[in-house]
Amino acid sequence: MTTPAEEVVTSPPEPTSGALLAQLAFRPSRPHLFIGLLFLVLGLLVTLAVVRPGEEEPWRNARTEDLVQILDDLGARQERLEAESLRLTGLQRDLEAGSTADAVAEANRRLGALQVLTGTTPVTGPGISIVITDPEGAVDSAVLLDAVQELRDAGAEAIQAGSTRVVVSTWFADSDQGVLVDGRPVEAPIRLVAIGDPDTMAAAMSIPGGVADSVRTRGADFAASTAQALSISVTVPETTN
Amino acid sequence: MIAIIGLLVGVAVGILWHPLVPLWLQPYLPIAIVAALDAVFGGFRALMEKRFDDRIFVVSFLSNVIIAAFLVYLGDQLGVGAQMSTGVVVVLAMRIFANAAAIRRILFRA
Repeated sequence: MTTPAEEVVTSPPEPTSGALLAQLAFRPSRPHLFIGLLFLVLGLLVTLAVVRPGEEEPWRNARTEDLVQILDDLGARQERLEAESLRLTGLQRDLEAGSTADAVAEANRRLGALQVLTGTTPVTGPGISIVITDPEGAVDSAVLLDAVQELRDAGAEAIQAGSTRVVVSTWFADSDQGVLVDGRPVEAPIRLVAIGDPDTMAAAMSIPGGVADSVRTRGADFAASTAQALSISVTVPETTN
Repeated sequence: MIAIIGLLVGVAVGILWHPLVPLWLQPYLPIAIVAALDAVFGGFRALMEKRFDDRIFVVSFLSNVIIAAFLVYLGDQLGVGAQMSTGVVVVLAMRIFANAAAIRRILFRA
């Protein structure tokens, strides 16, 4: 089979092909330009129809029923997600509110505990009051230290020895004037006040071989009395370091 | 020749520039394309039969597009837009096939 162009080459006088070639020839006349313009419009339209932006959107060519189905699915999904969002928002609010209150309460609790432990605040509450009458001076710092340790073990929050608040850095020593607490002699009779669970501390004091026993074996008198309302007003000055 | 150049330029412009077809024009785009194709095939057939006329081609091209678009618009207004579009496309496609058959007979004598 021969193409029209070959026919033209082999037999130029061929009327049909010659006319065709003549029509196809580059002849810039007004009608031809107009036809070219029309073809330009045609190519533009075809391109616009075929190569559409957003062609990747699958629902562009979807049928109405499919679109309705998709819309329903999306609506249900949105409803579900909104409910989930609502639930999570409420949870977040609760958590934030709850955790703030909890954090503040916890911080306050720790602040109070630390103030008690460091002795910077007066303490009142149930506790035990101990009076050691020691006319012979047989009770030394070791016995007092034992007593303080026992009281701490028994859950004493705050301890006062003589007129001194017993805190972490408190030290006991023996001297000519008797027992020194933080460098100050304890006047006789030796008074210990401890705030805490009275029964536990009383039991701790009176266990066999405990503080009460050791005091009494030294010939001194040990008297402990529990009370529901004791107060330790002695404080140590607050330091900022 | 100018027609082919115009076609290529139109395709190139469509691809490169990519103008957004206005929404109101979207339903008429395929109809306009089919109508234009019908005019082109008719013109090619006339060319084959050596009775091609520039004026007739231009007028048939424009009138085909405008009438097809008008029919679709009318169908939309009457509430039978989809059916009217289908009808127009079917008729134009039949004409295209008839023209193609005539062209084929002339080109290949078959």
